[in-house]
Amino acid sequence: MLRKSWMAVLAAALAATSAAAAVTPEEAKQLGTTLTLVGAEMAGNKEGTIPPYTGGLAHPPASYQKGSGFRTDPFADEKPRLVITAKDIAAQGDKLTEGTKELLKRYPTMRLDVYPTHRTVALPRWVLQNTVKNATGAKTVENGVALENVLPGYPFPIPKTGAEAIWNHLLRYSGLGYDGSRYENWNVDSAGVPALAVRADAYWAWPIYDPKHAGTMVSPTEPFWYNKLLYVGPARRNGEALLLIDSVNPLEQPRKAWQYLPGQRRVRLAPDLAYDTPNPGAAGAGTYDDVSVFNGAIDRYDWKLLGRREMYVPYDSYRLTYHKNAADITTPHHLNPDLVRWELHRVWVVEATLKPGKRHIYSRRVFYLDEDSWTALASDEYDARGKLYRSSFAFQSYSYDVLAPFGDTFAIYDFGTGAYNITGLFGPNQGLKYMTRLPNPSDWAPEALAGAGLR
Amino acid sequence: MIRSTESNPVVAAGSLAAALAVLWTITAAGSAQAFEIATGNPDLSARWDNTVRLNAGVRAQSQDPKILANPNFDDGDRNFSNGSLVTSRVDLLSELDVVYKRTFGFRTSAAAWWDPAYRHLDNNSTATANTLVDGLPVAGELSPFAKRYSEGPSGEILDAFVFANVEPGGVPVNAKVGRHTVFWGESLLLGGAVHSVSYGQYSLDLQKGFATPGSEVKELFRPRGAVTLQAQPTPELSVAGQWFYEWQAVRVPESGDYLTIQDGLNFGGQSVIVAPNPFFPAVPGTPAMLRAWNVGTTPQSRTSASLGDYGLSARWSPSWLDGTLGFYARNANDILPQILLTPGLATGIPAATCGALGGQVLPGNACIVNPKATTLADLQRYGKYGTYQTAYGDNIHIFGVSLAKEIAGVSFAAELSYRQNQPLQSNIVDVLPAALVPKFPGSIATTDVPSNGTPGALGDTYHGIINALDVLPKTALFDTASLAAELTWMQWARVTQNEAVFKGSPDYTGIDKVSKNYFGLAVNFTPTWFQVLPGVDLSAPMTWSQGLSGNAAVQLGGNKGAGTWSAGVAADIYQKHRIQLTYNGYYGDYSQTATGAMNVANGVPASLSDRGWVSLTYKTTF
Repeated sequence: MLRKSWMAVLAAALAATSAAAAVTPEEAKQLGTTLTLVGAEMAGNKEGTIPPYTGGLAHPPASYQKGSGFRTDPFADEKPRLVITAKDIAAQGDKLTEGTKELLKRYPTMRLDVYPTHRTVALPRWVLQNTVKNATGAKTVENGVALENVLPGYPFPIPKTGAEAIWNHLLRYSGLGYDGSRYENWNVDSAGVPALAVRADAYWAWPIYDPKHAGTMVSPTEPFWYNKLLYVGPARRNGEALLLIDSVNPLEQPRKAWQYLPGQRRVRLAPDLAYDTPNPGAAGAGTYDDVSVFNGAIDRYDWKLLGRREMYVPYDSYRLTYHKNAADITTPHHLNPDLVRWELHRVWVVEATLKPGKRHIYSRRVFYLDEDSWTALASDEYDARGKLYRSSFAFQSYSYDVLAPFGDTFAIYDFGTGAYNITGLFGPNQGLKYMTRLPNPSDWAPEALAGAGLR
Repeated sequence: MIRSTESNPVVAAGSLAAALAVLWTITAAGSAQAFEIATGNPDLSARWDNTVRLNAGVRAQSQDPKILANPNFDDGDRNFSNGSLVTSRVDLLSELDVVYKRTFGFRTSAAAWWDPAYRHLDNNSTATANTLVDGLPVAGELSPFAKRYSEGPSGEILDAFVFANVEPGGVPVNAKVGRHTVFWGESLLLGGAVHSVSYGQYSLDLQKGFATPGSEVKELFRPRGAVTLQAQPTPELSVAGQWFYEWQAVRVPESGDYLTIQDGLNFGGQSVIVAPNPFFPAVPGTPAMLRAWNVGTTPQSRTSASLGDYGLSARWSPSWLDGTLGFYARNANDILPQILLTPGLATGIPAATCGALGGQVLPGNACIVNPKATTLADLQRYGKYGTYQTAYGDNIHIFGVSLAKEIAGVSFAAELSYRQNQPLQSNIVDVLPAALVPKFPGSIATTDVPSNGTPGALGDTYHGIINALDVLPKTALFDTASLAAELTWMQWARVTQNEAVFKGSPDYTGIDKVSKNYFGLAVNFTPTWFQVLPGVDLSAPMTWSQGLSGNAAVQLGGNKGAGTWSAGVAADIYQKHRIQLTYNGYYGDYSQTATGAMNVANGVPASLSDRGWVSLTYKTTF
């Protein structure tokens, strides 16, 4: 990393001063009283369509087989309480994302089956305790793009800025990691034809969420996310492997990626795959920073917190993530509405506007973050002329057996081409299994990819 | 079998269409999924994937009369006239992996091919043919080697190895035993591969690489029998060792192939044309030209296990570096040959000298100096001048370091290596009766043909590579683009053996004279447009590589002004089918004889500089 200039240090110091008094101890006392420990409103809404938070789904449903990679739907017997179609846009428009409205307007087959709201998310005790400490301890510096004084947990349960809110999404708790689970990504073109984009075994880990890390401050340059993918499909990609390491702050330690290419039987450092570089796995329908609705560095945008809103968002999406047959999911133009569960939830709305002089194919983005998990559940992306360009949705389901929200099944719709991509389907294979402990650090060494690669 | 010497494109095109129809049926039937074989055991996984590739190619450049006038570079050129079908090839690559608990397993792969375009060759120039039937040249005939590898139908096993991933004492270790490819260093493109620390770790299939667009890279880097161990003692350090028990030379487009590098090379090339035949036409049936006959590779013992071919490497990624350093030491065998010529006939030898050598005196100061290389009867009947053989250097010591680092989002890598005992660009080494050796600098005595290594020029060389990989985001011109660029450099430090035949010696004046330093550049650029039609991504792959300055001191190392390029359009359909239309071109300089024939080509692309062609490729994996 380049050494910071004196000016930058000075600017950072000023920014730090201005942000330091953000959350007072009095405000922080709301956590655990009117607010949950991660900052969600404890109470339900006055209509009763959002229930109060009562501690989440503390126990797996009886239908769940211990140790299984398939998480059964605890609400499988429920019926939709409301069905939203294009004719309801006027009445329900304030509770729908722009992307949802666009899908309803474009496709008569699109509909939202709205089910009763369940606030399922419950988190490990130590993550919650750290989050409460972070409320008064953690701060952003350098105009929001960097962090200081963060314990493993959500850094800003009472966010004052858009940047703080998106940091909560970026550092969200997703468990310790995925243990070589096989997932599929599919592209559906504008004619409605699905094509397998990726089938791979995912070894993911979030080392800062190792319980041994609980008492140690997070360093901006330490690894936040290890992602090792061993490709098995489509057939022509069988044998490829990818290792990607994201640090806590990608501006201080940019993403590092290595590829094992079977043709060369060798591990090669990949160029920086970040920002708006198209993600080939999505046939151009998404960028690298569209993965899981948003990831990566936040420095190209100004972030604005627009507040909390009640919205219809995909939620408790067990049926989609663990559905056995991908062909049932990938219906023309949009995901099969029968398999998508929508619920009314309070979300934080965060708007990102491209900074003058920075480049990105999206000039403006609006993110909708779940108040109970900080997962970005939806987004709207606008092109340089301000037209709605793409929209994405994450299909969160709470992994009750490991006390971790799962939000890595996501779809992105490209309104320019009419194509869409769905990533992270774990149903067609063996389901999703979690790590119980972090693997040997040598397993994350780039050269180890060569050993893993067979072809 | 004597072939029809007239081309019949209709028949060839018809058989391609038939092959296409059959393959469409196969791929349609198998298009549902790749073959994940159900083993009934969750710990045991088995995969069987098949890649089918169809190529049709048409020559798009007229024959260069100057190249045709060189009788050792014309056979492939004459086989396909402008506008004719140069390939109508079907390839199959089949891969089977069986893995138990992600820990133990084996892999085999096999390739099969058939190219009916080789059934009808245009060549009718018997006088300049290098392929022999019963000792006499025949035009439009393929050597058995070219017949197998260029025409087929034929096939071969590629990978065949077992592997294990174990963690003794918590240290991850990967072991592979059998025929496989492991490839060290950081080289990216073909030019870099010649100058890399990995040189000789694999054999290259240049026949497939040149003539079959769309070939998988894993088919071009040919596996060899070896034991490879890789261990990861710490997250920052990886060490590997490799020991070979099998050797294999580079496979080149051989005599009769459209892209024949030289008519006499290598395993199938049967003769080189040396001089006009003094017995023609006085002796009925004797060919117009004298030829030396290919008697194969020396030594044959290379196929045995006692190769002395092994290496060690370490890859170190300390956090302060934010990159990876590599260290390599190898003892390698060459995969490109030098040539030894054993004349039977010599001219300009007075009868007394001839007699003193124990030779057979012929009229006009001619002498049969080596009765093992030719006899008067063979000379008269076949125009047999002598014999030649190929020899491969061994005991090449390679020491290298590499660095890989990301700078400003671009993946950069570099290599610097030093080789000792490296075979250098050599003229042909004459193998002569001992008494003549002093008169011909660089020649060796018939009794001195080595059983290992090569008697040509050897020396110490430096090699350097810098390359970059980048992916570009959307611009007004494309949705995304990938860029790979590689700069190569070499310098010869000193000559340690047979400087007289070294093409860099002060006495050598050919156009391909080796220079002290060489620089070459290769660039691949592929812009992509997504979803141009539903389910269709379009791209425009472009490649260019050229020697920038100097002529390299090692074979295929590069020559100034000699290059290859291609430009194409490809459609990826549902990430499953790929169709690509490409123009492939070659260029470079050559010197000419007094009569205007190509004399010396400055690099392989120069001798192919009239061979531009258009290829249409379809491939799919299922």
